Amino acid sequence: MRTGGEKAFSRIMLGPITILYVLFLLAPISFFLLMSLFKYDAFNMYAPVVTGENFARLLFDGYYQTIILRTLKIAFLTAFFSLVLGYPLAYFLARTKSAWRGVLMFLVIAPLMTGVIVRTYGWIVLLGREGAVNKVLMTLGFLSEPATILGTELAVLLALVHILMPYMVFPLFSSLASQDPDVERAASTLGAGRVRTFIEVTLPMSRSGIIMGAALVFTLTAGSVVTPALLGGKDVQMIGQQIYELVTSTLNWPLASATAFVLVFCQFSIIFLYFRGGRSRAQ
Amino acid sequence: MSNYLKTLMDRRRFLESTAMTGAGAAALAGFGSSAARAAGGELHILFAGGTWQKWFTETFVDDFAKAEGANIVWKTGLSFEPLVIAQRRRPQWDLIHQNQNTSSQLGAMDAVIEWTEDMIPNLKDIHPSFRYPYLAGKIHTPYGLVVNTKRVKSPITKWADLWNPELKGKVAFPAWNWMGQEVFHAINQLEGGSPDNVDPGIAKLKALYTDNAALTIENVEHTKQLLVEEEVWVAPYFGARTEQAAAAGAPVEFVVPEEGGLSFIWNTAIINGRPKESTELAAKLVNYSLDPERQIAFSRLTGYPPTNIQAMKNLPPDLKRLELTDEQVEGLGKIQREFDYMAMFAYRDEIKDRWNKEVLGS
Repeated sequence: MRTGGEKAFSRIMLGPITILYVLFLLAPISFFLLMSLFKYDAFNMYAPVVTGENFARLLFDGYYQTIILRTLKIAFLTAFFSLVLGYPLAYFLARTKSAWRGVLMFLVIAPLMTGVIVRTYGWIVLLGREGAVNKVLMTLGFLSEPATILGTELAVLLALVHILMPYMVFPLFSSLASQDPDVERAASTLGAGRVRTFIEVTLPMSRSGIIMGAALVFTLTAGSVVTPALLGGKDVQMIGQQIYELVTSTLNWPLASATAFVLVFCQFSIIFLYFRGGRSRAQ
Repeated sequence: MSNYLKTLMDRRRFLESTAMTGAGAAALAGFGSSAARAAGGELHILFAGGTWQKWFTETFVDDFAKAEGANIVWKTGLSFEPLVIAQRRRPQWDLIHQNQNTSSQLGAMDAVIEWTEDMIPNLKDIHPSFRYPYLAGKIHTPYGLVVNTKRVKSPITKWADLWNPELKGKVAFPAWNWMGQEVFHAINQLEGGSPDNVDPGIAKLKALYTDNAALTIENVEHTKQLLVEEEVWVAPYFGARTEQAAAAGAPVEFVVPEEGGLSFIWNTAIINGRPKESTELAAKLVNYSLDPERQIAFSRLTGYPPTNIQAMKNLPPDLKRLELTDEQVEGLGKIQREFDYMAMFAYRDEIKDRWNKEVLGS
């Protein structure tokens, strides 16, 4: 049982982060929620007249509906493919006894050191009609003429999976590396094959890493601006781009705030569902 | 100016007397220093980053800071207009990097001050084509069409060539919040439209995206990359940036369209409402940027022509390629001089919404 002193100590320890969250998370979100209820004014950006027209425009206008749904779809697919591709890599890194493990870990992080814009430009070179991907596919006989990949959801998805992969691999690695190897050995001793051991022991025990990695990749994708703008073109508009344009170009702050609020609401809801799902399965 | 616009302006005055803008200013009040600190010889500048800032600093700011004993505080990036508008009651910055479009809009909102020859003596030598009420260019940036000379066989001479079906899938148009807005209004104007009637421009650009499968170019580097990769053969672009793309290996040349090109002027507009000492210091730096010798040095770095008549007349041999005749200068700025910047500003949300739905969503 915790003593009063321990409780007080815990509260003191939580104090700084609570202040930080209130000042730099809750206060800004409250501010833009308030702004989202104001009326747009062409010369002042907003007027303090309460209206629901910004949310109505977002939720009932087909153009904005499409953008919201597309953003959620791309965020979900990016999280899914990052998991499918990242899990084997994280598993290998967690289990290998190789002296090169540190180097391999560095290689996973290395793309983060180049910056998202540079990596996105790299994808332009690879995915262009004259790019390496088209050349390889044509050489192998899969295509008779270059395919248009730039300006499609596929291009955005490929680049986002690549760019955000480290955010999936490290939580997975952390949860896999912390597993007690005796548990897998025990399953094996009790007659489980490698596949069954993986499905019934290793995979469920790495649930926290899967949830954390998926939540990180999902939220980062949903708010991405640069990659969809450079690789997606006019057909792959996402919420982040809309917010950026509304704030800096159109200067429609109330609609930008409403859009940001919808984005944050979707992200929090998905994260909540992820964690609630993870907790209920654990119970 | 339309009635709608006048109504908006009246509402603006009314709303300025409310506490509404105070909310934005209050939210931003925590950052930046007090006015008093700038008065002690600090100049706070909102500026584009990258090579542009580097060249601007090397050519104008370093000597100015030394001569005036001024300390320069930078905030770099693009699209700082919302910050300046939000801070109109308590401005925290002295200068903002602008073109004629955005400076005219900020000027109409009293967010930046009008330039006079008393404040900025070198202003008298600036070519009239590059002088606007709230800004005069330190250079001007001819803007027309970049053309891939290896791939495009038919001559490209006018804006209308972007719609040539032979170029399907190989043309591009700038993103709205990069140069797209201005180019759209130019095309709209050429098609007989105006800021309060953008139907002709919307129809024309919709055709460019649907019939000619135009790509969207997001910025200078993105365009350069697509030109080098030969993903784009013809697009609206800057003259000097075309030279840089050619130097990077793209087989391209710059064309000033017959209907008239565009010419963007860039400089730092002086933000209104700052202490007198800060405003005077800001005006001195602006005066440096209009000095003929410094403009020539800046032209050498950027590849863009100067705006000071003395500098234009006395270009050294290595910069003679930047010399323009009066006719060429006239042709470059022809379309923009007819722009109604305030109407463009007033209708921007409505026009952008139509752009999103009818052009990009087509």
